[in-house]
Amino acid sequence: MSQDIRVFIVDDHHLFRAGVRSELEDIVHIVGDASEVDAAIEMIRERVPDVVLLDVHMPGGGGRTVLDAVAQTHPGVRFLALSVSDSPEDVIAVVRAGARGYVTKTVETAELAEAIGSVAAGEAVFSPKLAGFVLDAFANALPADLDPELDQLSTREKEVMRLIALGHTYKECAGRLDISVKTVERHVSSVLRKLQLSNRHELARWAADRRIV
Amino acid sequence: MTPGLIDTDIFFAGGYPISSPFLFATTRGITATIAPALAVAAASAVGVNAANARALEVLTINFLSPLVVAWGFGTIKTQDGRRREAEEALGVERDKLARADERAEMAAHLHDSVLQTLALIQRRAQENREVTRLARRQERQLRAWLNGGPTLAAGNTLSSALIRAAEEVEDEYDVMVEMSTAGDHELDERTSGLVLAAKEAMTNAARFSGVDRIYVLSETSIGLLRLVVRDQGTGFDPDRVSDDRRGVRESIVGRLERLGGTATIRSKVGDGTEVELEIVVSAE
Repeated sequence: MSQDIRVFIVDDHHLFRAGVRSELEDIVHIVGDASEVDAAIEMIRERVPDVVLLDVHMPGGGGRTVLDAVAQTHPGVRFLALSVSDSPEDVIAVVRAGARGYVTKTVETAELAEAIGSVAAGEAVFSPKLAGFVLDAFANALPADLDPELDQLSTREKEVMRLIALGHTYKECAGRLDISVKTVERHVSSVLRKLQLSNRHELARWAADRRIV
Repeated sequence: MTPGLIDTDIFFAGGYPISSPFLFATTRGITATIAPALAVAAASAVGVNAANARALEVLTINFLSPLVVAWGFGTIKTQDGRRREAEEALGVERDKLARADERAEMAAHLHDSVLQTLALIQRRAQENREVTRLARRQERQLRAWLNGGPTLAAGNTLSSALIRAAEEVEDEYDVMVEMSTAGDHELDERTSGLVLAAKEAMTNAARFSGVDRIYVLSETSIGLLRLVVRDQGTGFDPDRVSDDRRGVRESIVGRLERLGGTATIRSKVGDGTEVELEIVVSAE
């Protein structure tokens, strides 16, 4: 893992911030952290990190406000959502707002570091959980008035999502499907794009219906 | 009672005999009003010559007016009682609302503090598995409570039953099951059988794989239920499963055959195990 990936942490829980900070300190370059939305926006704009680790549950508008504000002025800053909640509507909301991935807070340090590296490199990071949500959200038959290009997953994309939901790494996916890792990454990015641009009204309804918390 | 009214009370009570029962009634209640009113009236009577017609007039005023006032206040008191009942009912409602508010606030607090702490413990306590397990169980109970209403796990569907099965395996074998459910199906005899087979596969993974994380994906598409249980553990040679491993033969393969479905077990020594279960269901 490259020490020169500049990471900023936004989380309103001091304990958690301190914990993540100490775990990641030797692996990446942590340029700062913030516990409030406004302070986070200001500091991120000032320090321009490569990756922002963003808690999706923040008081005062939540992580989404930070994401929207930073995206307007610094579209190059990439976001990795981190959440304790696992609530599909929160997760889907931040991903649709532009986060390049989502991991749960119980993720192990090595996995988190790897995810940060991938996001810094412009890739999408799908945890098994997110892949499961995506499969569920795109599961129903497509209503006639939607664009199949954006509003449904291709067979290959579904296969990749299934393997990720079962805990396979991109490399393992590539091996299983007999395609290159680059192709797997392309599929995942394409799913991310669909997730962000899809007009499937089911995405919103589905997220609201399915309250696992 | 506001201090202002009490001041007024004292002022008027000493000022005019008829106003005093009125003010006393409002401040002290009806019994406390009649008694002093009669006492005042009686005292007036003693000091007045009974033959004096003027005195009779005074007596009337002193005896009757407190009674009229008392009667008037009796009526007011009754209405007051009704009002109080209504207020009590309102109070109960208010209490309920207050409790709901309190609950929401507590939920927010628990979500923000306890859940975060539990997550942190799980991250940092990898060397202490008992602590991790406790934290995970507490987290699950807390989530269920925070959610208030029925959680997905409490439902009566395939996904709900799978989540419950996974939770049991997590608790019993100190592992973590990463469950994804895409689509859902009603829980009937066949899907219940599918859950039992899946639970057996999870249990096997928990007991024999040597790893503490198990992945489960259940997918429901039109007419087909597909469920995969996967671990990245030690694996085994499927051709050499000893006869005492009844779990795989009976509870998984045999059960799926009886359900008219298929079970495919893919495993390699050193390369994990994947159990795939499929049954065809009538399209809903």
